[in-house]
Amino acid sequence: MSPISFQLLLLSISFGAGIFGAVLGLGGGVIIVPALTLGLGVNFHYAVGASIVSVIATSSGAAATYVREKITNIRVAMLLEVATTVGALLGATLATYVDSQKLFFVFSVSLFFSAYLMFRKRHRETSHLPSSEGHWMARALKLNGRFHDPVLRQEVEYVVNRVPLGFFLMLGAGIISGLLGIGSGVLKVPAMDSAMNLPLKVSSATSNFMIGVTAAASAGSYYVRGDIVPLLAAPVALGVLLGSWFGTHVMMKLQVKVLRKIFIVVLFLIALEMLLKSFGISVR
Amino acid sequence: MAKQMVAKKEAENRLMQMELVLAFVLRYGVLLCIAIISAGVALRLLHLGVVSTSSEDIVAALRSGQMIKSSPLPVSLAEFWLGTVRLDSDVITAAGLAFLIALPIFRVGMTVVLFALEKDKNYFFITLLVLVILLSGIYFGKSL
Repeated sequence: MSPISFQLLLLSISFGAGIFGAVLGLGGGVIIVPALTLGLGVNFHYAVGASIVSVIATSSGAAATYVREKITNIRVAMLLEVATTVGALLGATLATYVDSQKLFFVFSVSLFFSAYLMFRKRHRETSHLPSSEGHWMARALKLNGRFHDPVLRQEVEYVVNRVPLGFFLMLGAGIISGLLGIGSGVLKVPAMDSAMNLPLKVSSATSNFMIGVTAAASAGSYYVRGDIVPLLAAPVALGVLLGSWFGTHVMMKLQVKVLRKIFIVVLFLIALEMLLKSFGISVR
Repeated sequence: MAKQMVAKKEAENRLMQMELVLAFVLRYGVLLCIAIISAGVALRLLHLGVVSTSSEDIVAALRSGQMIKSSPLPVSLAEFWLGTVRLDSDVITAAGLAFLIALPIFRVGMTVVLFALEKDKNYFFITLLVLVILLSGIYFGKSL
């Protein structure tokens, strides 16, 4: 394959991944890494390096949108970023000791888990339950907040619970992000909304705010290690960025519910293929 | 008490406003990075400038799942400068990529300053810690 057609192929795959990612509220990484490794035969480490760069590009490009919504809890984000960045560095370090076969396995497991979480979320309401007075750490660290809920048309106050558990789960989300080159928003959101009782909307906005910083932690180490190949990372970053802009601006009217169901099936199939690959079985 | 609440809310709003400004810097920063990265790739594909490994070899190695034997990406300012002057397309692309990775780090750095200005000691140290972790990833990245 000639270099130019390879670039165009990468650009179009990434564009599609970006659209999917934006419409479904996932990053593009969940699609990019399997596409590059299973589809194009690229070495797992390089696929991860390219994907993590694209995560930074999309997250930075969209940051303004999330802050403008005024529901991002900056203090929660900063506190939890201590955990996600440490995790991301651990993950990036771990990646050098783990061979591709095992990485396929871990990726497969986290895809199954993502698919399960998305499946569980399919009928979820966005409002949240009022809770007790919250965790003492949340009061000490001024984590409790309020936001304007356009559905309820009122200011909703919320308190933050189980801060240590949330912190611990974020460490895990960081490891997965650094190891597999994904934003791991799909793991960050439940850590905040299920474990810490943050309203779902606040959780998603805060998660999106955090993703770029988490990714930058491992991307720095992938970069100096030489796992970021310009000829691979450049079209992937560009494609995912354009795709996600297209996704958020043009495809908003799409039936997300239908798409979500299709995507759960796709995610499941990719996870299955990755699982087989981890046992040395090639489907194609 | 009420006065305190108002002051607290104002401080929150200031924080949000400044974060919003940072977020816009990030957005335009991304555009700039993409422009630099695209310029580097275009130079390479159009066979302008110098390259250390041919595109054909890199693509072949990528498609076969192999590691690539090429010169490492630049890390020092001197390397970036020399490469750019020589029109080394990989160095130009790498500069765009490095700048892109630096954007969230820059954002965290600015947030440290914001919390210092707000005299919020706890969050000054928390954000500073995040910044140190991010920078140590780059500093120790090779040996990790």
